[in-house]
Amino acid sequence: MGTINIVSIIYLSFVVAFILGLNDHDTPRKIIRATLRRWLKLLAALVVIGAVVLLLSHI
Amino acid sequence: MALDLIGSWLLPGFGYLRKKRYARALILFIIIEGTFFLGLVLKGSVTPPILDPSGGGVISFLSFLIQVGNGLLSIISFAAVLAFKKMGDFQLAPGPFLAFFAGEQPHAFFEMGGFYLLVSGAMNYFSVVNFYDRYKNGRNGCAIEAHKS
Repeated sequence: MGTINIVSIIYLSFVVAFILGLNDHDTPRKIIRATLRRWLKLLAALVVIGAVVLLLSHI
Repeated sequence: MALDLIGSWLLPGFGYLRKKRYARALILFIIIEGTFFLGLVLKGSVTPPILDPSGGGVISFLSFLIQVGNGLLSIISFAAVLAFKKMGDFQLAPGPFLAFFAGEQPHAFFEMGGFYLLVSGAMNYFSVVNFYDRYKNGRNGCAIEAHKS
């Protein structure tokens, strides 16, 4: 169950980052760069949120 | 334009297909419909909204609105859920097609699958709006940053 959640976070954040990158740019290079940048930011934000939730649930 | 927008809502990438931007159309179709399909594999479905006059069904209603963003497949899934319930009332066994699109609410991955459908719908909404921005008022379909410069 935990594996599915982690894989889902990675996959869905990629989908969001990629579609937004595709909408914003036209050239493949710009799309890939924008996607990677957004994807990493999104994953980092989700990890932070997950850590905060985990911390708060133990208080 | 209206045909392109409605078509793009029903079938992701349709508008770009009509504009002969085949790569973009195919990529959008594969990513958005692929995500929806994964949601169905996880036993998710487009769940009918809970229409509660006291306001308790707001999240349910918003989730439904966003899930419906995928267009044709969302409509099929929603219809399958309703048909599944009706068949249950008459004690009829649903076929595999209906069962696949209707999801399985007690299943452990149902909520997760529903979330995949949500993301799929939301991304299609963004794509349809982006298509409109690119081609409105006779624009040539370039990215918005190119229009601004």
